Amino acid sequence: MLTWLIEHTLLVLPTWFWFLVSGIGAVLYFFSGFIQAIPFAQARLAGYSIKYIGLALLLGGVYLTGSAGVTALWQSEIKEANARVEAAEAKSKETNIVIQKEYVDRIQTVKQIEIQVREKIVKDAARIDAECKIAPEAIADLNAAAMPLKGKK
Amino acid sequence: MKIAILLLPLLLVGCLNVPVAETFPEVPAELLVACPDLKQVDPATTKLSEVIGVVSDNYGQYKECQIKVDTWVEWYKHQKEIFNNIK
Repeated sequence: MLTWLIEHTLLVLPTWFWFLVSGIGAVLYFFSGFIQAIPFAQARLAGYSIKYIGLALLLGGVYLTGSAGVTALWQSEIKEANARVEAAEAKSKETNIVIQKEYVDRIQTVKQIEIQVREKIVKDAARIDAECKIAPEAIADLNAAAMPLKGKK
Repeated sequence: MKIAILLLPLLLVGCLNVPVAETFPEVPAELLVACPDLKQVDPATTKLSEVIGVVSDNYGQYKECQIKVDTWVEWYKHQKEIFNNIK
């Protein structure tokens, strides 16, 4: 959850914001010394508080400046990767069109040959059947060879 | 120590989700149709021409399926090449 929150905060806020936080932290840390020097107990206490708040802002700001840099780097990588994926998808579609066209052409050629052979068989049927009578066993054997597989999906 | 433990999750900032979505490439619709069964000869026939007709039809069917398989192989090779070039 915290990671998600930081991740999204880093994406929303610009990098300069974390520079600003670090700067404010550094300024607070620097001036806390002056406040501590004021000879009142309350001022000294406030000085201490400001010193630690400033230190926390400085360290947190520096850390998140680095994180923002890394996030920006990753964002750029992601953008490039997405562009590569989009290009690949476009190329994939183009390839599919070419493959599909080749497939349709080849199937058409085969079908044309099938029609020609069929016509030739019809034409030659009288001569083929004149001197040959097929035994039923031959047909049974042929059909057994062409029997579809059981459990075929 | 407690503060250090609380700050540890900050180290997880480096673990970003990478929103790069790749979709599985589409396949031409013709290739998704299964090859039909081979034709059977009418058991009552005694004509050789009918037998030859069925056999030649089955040859044609085989050729169509052969082209389909060849096309699948070609499709796979191309898509694999495209996929490998993404990285």
